Amino acid sequence: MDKYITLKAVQFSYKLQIIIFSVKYNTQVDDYTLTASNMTKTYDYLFKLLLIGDSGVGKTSVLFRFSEDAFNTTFISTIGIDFKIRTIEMDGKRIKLQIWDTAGQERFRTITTAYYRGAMGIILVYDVTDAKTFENIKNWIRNIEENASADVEKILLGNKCELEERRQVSKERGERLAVEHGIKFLETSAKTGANVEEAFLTLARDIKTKTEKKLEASNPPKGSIQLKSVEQNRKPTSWFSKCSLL
Amino acid sequence: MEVFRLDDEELEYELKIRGYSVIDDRNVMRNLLRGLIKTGENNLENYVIQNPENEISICTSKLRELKNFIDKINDNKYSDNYRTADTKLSHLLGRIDRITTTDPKLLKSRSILLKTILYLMREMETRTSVGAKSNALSIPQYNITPVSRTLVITNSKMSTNLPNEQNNTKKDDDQGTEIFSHQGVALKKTNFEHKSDPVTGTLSIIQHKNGKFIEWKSTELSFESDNTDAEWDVVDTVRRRTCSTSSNIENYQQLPPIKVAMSDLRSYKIKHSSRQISLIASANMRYSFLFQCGNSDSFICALRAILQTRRAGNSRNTYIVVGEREESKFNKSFNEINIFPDEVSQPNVWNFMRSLQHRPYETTMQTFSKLTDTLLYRTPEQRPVDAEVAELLTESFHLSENDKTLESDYTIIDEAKKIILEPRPRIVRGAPLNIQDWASRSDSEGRVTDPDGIKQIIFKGGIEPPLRYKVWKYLLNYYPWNYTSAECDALHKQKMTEYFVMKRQWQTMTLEQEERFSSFRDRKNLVEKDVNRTDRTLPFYAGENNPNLKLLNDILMTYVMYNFDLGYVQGMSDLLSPILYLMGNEVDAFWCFVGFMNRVYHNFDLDQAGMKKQLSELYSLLKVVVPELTDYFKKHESSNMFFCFRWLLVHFKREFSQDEIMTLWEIFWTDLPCKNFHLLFCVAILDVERDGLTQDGNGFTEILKYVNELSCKIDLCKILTEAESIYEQLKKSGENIPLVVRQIIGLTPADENDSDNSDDESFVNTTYPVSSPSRTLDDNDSIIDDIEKVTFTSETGEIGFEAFERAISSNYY
Repeated sequence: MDKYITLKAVQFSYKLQIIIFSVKYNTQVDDYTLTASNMTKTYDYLFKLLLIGDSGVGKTSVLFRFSEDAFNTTFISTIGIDFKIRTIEMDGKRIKLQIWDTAGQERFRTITTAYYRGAMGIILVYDVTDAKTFENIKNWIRNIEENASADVEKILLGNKCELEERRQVSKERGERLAVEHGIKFLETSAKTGANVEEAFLTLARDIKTKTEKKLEASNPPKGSIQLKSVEQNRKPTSWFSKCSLL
Repeated sequence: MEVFRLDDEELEYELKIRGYSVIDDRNVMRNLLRGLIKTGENNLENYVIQNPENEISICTSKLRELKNFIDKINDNKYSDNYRTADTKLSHLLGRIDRITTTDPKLLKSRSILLKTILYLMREMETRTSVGAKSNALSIPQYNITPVSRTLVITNSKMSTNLPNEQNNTKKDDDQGTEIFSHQGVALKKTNFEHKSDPVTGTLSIIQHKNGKFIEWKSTELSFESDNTDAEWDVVDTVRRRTCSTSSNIENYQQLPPIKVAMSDLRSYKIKHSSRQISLIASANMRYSFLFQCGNSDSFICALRAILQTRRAGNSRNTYIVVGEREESKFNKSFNEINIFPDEVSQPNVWNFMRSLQHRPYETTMQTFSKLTDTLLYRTPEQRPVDAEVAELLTESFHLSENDKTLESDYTIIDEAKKIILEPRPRIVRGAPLNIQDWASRSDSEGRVTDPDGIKQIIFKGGIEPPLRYKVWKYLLNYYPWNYTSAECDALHKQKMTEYFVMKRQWQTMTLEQEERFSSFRDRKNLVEKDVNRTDRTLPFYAGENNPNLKLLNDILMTYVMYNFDLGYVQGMSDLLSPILYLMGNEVDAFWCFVGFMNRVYHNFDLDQAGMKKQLSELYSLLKVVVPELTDYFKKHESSNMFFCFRWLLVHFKREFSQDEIMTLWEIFWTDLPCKNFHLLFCVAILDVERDGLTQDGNGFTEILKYVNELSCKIDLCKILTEAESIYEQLKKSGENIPLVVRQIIGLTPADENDSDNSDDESFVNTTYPVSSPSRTLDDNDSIIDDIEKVTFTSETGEIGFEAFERAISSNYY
């Protein structure tokens, strides 16, 4: 009986830690593989990213390049929302990237806006061969300001940079806009794969740095939860597996 | 209310509503307020808030502050911080409750604020209750001195009022884990001694090292032991109510706490519609408790999670304890406790919130304790943060953000009553419509004499492919059923002229014109982008410079001219693609597409109202047909049904092969067996895929992934059979199903004027504010005006780049 209560208490304390952790760092803790004998976590962090930009700039293609390292010439417009997962490793930490792909047309924004909220990183994409999509970036940024959390990390991508002969937006203009908004910038090509990996990794690193900084800052004061303790304290239980973002 | 915990502004407010002007000295204000509260001199009803908008913004910022404050609370519920937060919350609750306004925007804000308070209250309970539990064994943190006299009831001996040394010392390091607690429970009867003045206390179930106990402590004792300023607001209000009927204050101090071992409990009896419960430990040990706040439901539920009981044969309300549940089942019991608040108390809470509006201050304060109690055992993962609440707390909340009706906040309730449906009948599908069927139902001149019979056959089995070309024109209201072949030919000629007139309109637009006509340019640009990525894997559209792509483009552009307000929206090219493939020529394809669009144009509403309405109706249907799924979605933050968005937007176009989608669509176009059959089709898929959807405790992301990956894996025939069967089931169930659901599928004609039927309102998942369809086009008025002034004269020009978004975004924000 005593043993039982102790176990329960440990479970409680663990559960609490998970919850506090997930609340503090906006991290979803849903991917523990739970079995009675063996418990492994498939990642250390889960980052939710969001791809936005005008219709047809190549959001889905960029994502496909990053997640499958492939390029499909039979394009299809995105309807509603979808996401892809890729787990990367960075400084010994496994980072699961959950990247949400949205429909670009203004009309669907009432639906897609709902996904801004939980995003930790936003990838803004325009098409270097279409000046209008570049001009619209500032509308998208305004959208982010209105709907996403204030400290969301952002990166600007000028896609289709392999189509040099059809270019309408110079690299310098892209850079200037990025500097104006204090965000990083890369020209990418989903077709050739240029800079796509870099774009996602840069964003992931920025989020990781920020997360860990927050973690340190809020650490010591007695009783507060350290990331470390979460990792060490893995115990099989049946009922915190559902634990998700509060 | 613990007056000293209020800041100056809050003090001033509390005095103001009691009719006193502001005083400079904080202490004077405190004393005055204390006095006022004690004497019950509260003319609260008379006070009218002058500036509700300002009030709401004050409350909003205060709530945000409070959220940050609560976030830092790390200790138990007797701590200073906790109680400060508690006081401030109840202050704000009263304050927001007092805001009266008729402005829908403000009402909306007000209800979000109330929700936020509720959320914060739950949040506090989690932090403290879970926190206290986890600490209970490792570090004894409770500082409440155990009471001197404990009433211990054991199985064999009847020992009362024994100051049991051993027991007490043991209790010092075994504070136990609180499994359940309900404040505001009065002890009414001990054994056979009736208390004329019930004493209020807290009834809890505590897990001690040596077993579980039901404990009751008089409120006063626990308070005097750790609190010098005996003004705990939550309990305070409860006590006051008791006091008003009693003058016998000494009673409080004399009552020892009661502790009943769970293993000794023989039976319990519920009386006065759950407001009173009697616990019988042995023949002579009987305690009656009166629940002054709420009822004993939650307590009973917690009790049942621990004990196995059965109903006594002779008395309806008496339950006999069979035994304690085995420890191995403890996990399950935990779950039972956890699940409970979702099933029962949530509606209570929302009912409370609903009535809150009309009730005075006192009620609010008294119910506050009830709220925290009933929500005590909700674990955090079961508490989805309301989007609006999250918004408010993340400071992106603006007063004017939403002007949706207030009702939407109050009707997201799960009705407790279960609807009993008739069993689903077996459905047999039929053969597709063939040429003989068609010939036998039309006359010599080509009129269709029995359109209903034809539709019936199509509904049961679709159309044989060679006949589609002909029949679709009728189904899509291009050709009227009663037209002769000659009339149809004439109509075709007329429609052809019409089509080419409209086609010329956009073809003859000069570059210069386009440059000054951004709405047109944007639409054109969008069409071009999507034409190049529509069904390119099908041979009909595959390859570079495929002429069919040009047809696709021309039809969509002409549709833009035909219905410029709607313009082009992503998804339309998906709807056109099979039609063009079948018709093979742009004129017929265009007019059939117009017919299809007339059926589904709400899918492309500017504000997505049509989609939201359908998702909401789908939820209502699913709730009746497969309530387990809606319960599941609700618990897993998926009740918005967004994962069905693609299904509905393009009518399953992306889920089936070209051939299947044609069959499915022609079946939908028969409007049989009822309206919104496509929603029943969704319900059928979800029902068939139920196990997959809910496996491994899938959350929203997993559900979305699962649904998206169902594409091209759905058995069309099976789902059609199932959907029809569900329809028959609902039809047979008749009056058993809510009116709203009957209206969705047209079993009862929808009443145009009366959209909110009070009987059934709880079944409408009003997460989506549903606006009238006509409204969506109003947003475009300015654009329409522009268009009407434009004439189309010049020649075709090159495409300029401007995106569609901007034109509309000006109306958007």
